[in-house]
Amino acid sequence: MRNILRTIAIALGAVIVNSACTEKIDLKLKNSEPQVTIEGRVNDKPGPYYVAITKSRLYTENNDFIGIGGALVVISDDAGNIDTLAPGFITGLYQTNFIQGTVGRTYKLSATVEGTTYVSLCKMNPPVDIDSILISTETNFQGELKTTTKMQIRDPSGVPNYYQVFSVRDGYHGQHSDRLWDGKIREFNIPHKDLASGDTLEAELWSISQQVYTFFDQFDQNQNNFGAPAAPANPDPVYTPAAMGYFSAHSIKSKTVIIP
Amino acid sequence: MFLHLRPKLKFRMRKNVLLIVLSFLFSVSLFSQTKFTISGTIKDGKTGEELIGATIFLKDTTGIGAVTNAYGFYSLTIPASKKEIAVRYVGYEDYSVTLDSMKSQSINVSLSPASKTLKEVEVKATKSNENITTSQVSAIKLDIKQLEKIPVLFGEKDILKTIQLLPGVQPASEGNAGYYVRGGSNDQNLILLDEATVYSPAHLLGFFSVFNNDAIKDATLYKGNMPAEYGGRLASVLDLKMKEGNSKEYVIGGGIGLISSRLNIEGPIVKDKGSFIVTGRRTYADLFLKLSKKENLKKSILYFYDINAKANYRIGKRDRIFLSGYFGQDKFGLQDRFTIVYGNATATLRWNHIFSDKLFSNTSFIYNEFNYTIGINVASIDVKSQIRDFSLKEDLDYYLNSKNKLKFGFLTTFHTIVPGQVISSDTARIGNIILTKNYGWESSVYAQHEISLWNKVNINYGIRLSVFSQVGPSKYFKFPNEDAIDTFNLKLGQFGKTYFNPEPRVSISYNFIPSMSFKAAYSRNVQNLHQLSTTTTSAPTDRWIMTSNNTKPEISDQVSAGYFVNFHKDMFELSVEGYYKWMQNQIDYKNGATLRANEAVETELLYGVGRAYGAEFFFKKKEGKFTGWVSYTFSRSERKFPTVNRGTWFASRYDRTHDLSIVLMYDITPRINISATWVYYTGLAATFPIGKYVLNGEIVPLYGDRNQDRFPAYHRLDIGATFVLKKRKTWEHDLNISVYNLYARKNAYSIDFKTDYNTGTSYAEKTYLFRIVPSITYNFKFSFAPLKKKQK
Repeated sequence: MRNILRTIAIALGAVIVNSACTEKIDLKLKNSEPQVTIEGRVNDKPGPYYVAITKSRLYTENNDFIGIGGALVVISDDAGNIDTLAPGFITGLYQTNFIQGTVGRTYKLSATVEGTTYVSLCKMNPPVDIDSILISTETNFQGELKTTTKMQIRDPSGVPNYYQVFSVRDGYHGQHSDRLWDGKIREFNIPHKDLASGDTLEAELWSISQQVYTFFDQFDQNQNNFGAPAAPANPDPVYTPAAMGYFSAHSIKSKTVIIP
Repeated sequence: MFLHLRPKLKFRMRKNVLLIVLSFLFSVSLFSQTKFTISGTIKDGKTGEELIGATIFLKDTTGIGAVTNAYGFYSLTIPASKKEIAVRYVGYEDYSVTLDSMKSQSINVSLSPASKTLKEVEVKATKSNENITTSQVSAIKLDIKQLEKIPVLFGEKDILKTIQLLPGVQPASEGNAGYYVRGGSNDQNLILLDEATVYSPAHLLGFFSVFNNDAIKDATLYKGNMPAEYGGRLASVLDLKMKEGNSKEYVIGGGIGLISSRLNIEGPIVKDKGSFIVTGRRTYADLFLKLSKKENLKKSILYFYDINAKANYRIGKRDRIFLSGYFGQDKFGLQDRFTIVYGNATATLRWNHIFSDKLFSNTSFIYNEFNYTIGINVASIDVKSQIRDFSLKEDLDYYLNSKNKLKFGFLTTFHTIVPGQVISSDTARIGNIILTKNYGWESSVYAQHEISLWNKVNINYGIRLSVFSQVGPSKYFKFPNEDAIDTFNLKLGQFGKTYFNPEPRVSISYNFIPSMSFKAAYSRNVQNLHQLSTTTTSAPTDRWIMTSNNTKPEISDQVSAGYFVNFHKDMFELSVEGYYKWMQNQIDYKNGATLRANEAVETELLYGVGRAYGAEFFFKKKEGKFTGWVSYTFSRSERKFPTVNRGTWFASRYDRTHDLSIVLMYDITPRINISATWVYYTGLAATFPIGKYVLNGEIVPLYGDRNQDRFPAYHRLDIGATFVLKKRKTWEHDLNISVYNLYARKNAYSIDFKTDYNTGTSYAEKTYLFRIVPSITYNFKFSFAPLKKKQK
């Protein structure tokens, strides 16, 4: 809604007086001590699974983020499996050796970085099927014709479900909660760059936990803030002690189509 | 015998004690036979409109006088030896009358407007020193006529934007009708239009106020230290009174502007007995959209309209009936994708009754509502929301004598809030979401006493007792601990949590000399309706909630003190005021709060405290060819919530350290006047990144404590000119030209933090809404006498 209002406010300025514009400005920003970010995922497909550990930079610095090597990273589950991750192919990336994600188990990520051990827990929820992938041609807001793809799902009723939609080629897209449409048939947009006839689209539906949903929902609200926003803030940490990032154990269903 | 006498003696003694107390209190001997009372109404001689705040006084005795109330009524008790009476009102010629008999009588006065067009010489118009003599502090009465000269965005004369040029009042954002008073939020301002509450005072997402200037007769802003007759909001009351309509002749007026046009008609129903006025406005910004080459913009809708209507009729000498209403609506639609329709409606039925020459009564039945519907066509759903009040109000003015005035009454209101209901059609992918309606019953009684002592001291003290109850039929929530939610139901007629609050108010002025005074005041205010806003500027879709078992009434205590001086025969006005305000039970929301379609919205809220303080400086030249003012405010506004910034005080969204407005108007000739305004204020408090980090391959800002940073300072110059093309007795027209943001400063409306992945750098980018905005408006006015009935 905030985005819609923003669009109108700016459109109003732009249309009526043809003047709303943007411009780079210099601001004096406060600087923080570097903070640790831990991104970890476990799913019900075969491993290995990866954990990435990075450090924040000053806002005015360049974007050459370098991973933190030498951390002790352990993923374990409530069935007694304990896997100490091995260094991955770049610094700051760690990968599992043998642990296998299983629906219904609770996973624990523990990462010891420069003397501090950060811990996060996540339960893997059961997967939800993709019924079909719908392909259509629609006129977008700029008046151009675009190929649009959606996945149709049937939300299991009586339980809260949280989803993320992932396009294997072009990355992940938003998160959804069934709070307002429990048990209904639902369509999610599948994010993708321009698609041409003959392209393969591989889409995944991730069943995520409430904590991960909340993390990304808060994250998006803060990124989409507009104007003089309600004060933006970092999402509530999922790690103890606080670190940026998330730890998501989710189940996956996927479907592949070829664009006609 | 002795036994028989005692009770009588006792009775007498009691009576005497009572009389002594009374005569001390009211500083008058009640038995005196040497006084009489004159009463009546004071009107504009040309239009028949009653004048609010006109003074009537004894010519040769200082300190004996009265001021007309909201209906132009006055009552003045004077010694029998006096018979020279004078009447005064700013912008009108003085009027004197010699009484021919020394008995109580009714005297109605019509004042002639001081005309400027007759001669170039300065007209001997009345100047007022009421700002000095009244005990009221932190209040400003706006000059509606002067408003016409001040340049504004798109040439739309706007009362809400003009009050932002006054000390202690700050704009919510660029070109916005929303305002903050003394560090309070938008929803802490009460806006009354003929006593009805206007919940959403802005059109077009805040760019225009809903008040059509053509319909407004009088406007007074109270900045927190309001008299006991007002209540319900913490920061301010803006009391707007609609015109009654010309009771002598028909007048048709209007204007054609850049984005909207206006038309108004007023005239007598029966000459000098009743009159009516209807004013309307509509924008045509959507016509510009039709001109667009882009297909998607052509299909968009964007307009608002509003109508004010009022009629009044005198029934005999003692009774008068008024019926007034407002209806306005905004509509936006982007392509066929979605539409937002929202608006206010108010209706007020009033009955004035003069019980005696000392007791004036007004009874009002008031209805007001604000509603919005968001139609999301792509999802086949409508989201509907409404807030609605029914009220009964009684106010009594009792003019005890020339030194004492009592005012008392009550107000009782039944509130209904329909939170965003989701209504879906059969094809929708979302089910209906019917959130339970909430009901609240809010009542208050008040009494206040205005007393004047030794011609130097004026005191207004009073108390307002307010009570608020949550009532059924509705579902409410209880939160026994952090994660648990319990519900309980109230049946129809059942009461839930009830809050009683006494709200004492007092203001005192001391006049050293007639043109100089020192004033001080204390007020407690209570607020039971709260708006949950996720942006700085309030959006029409922001949700209102009521006080409940979880959300306590907001309470503020404000002390103000000021020094006021007029000099050069009341031509110049200078004031310095300071204030300090404590606020309890302030509301904010948790990080990532879900405010929409959420029944248990209170789980998303945080409760804390606030404080605001500041100093306001105001210098005004009221008379002459060259008029205007300079207003400067230094202020702070802070909040404290246990879980925000580790429980420390932080600058609120309403904090503006420095705020300066300069308004200049100059009459070059009687036909041409020019004006300019310059505003400067500290940028609003904001939260900027303190670093950046990587998440899902994207580079995103890392935020620190809330509101530790500032937007760049805001400043802007506007100029305007009005040319009277023709002015005759029966018709006149003029042309108004204005330029908004003359030196094209790109003031930041929003600031975004972005990353350029090609260069590997991050930067801040501001969005600004307006550069130079010129506008032109043509205004006209015809008047003609009522047609005489043909005699058969």
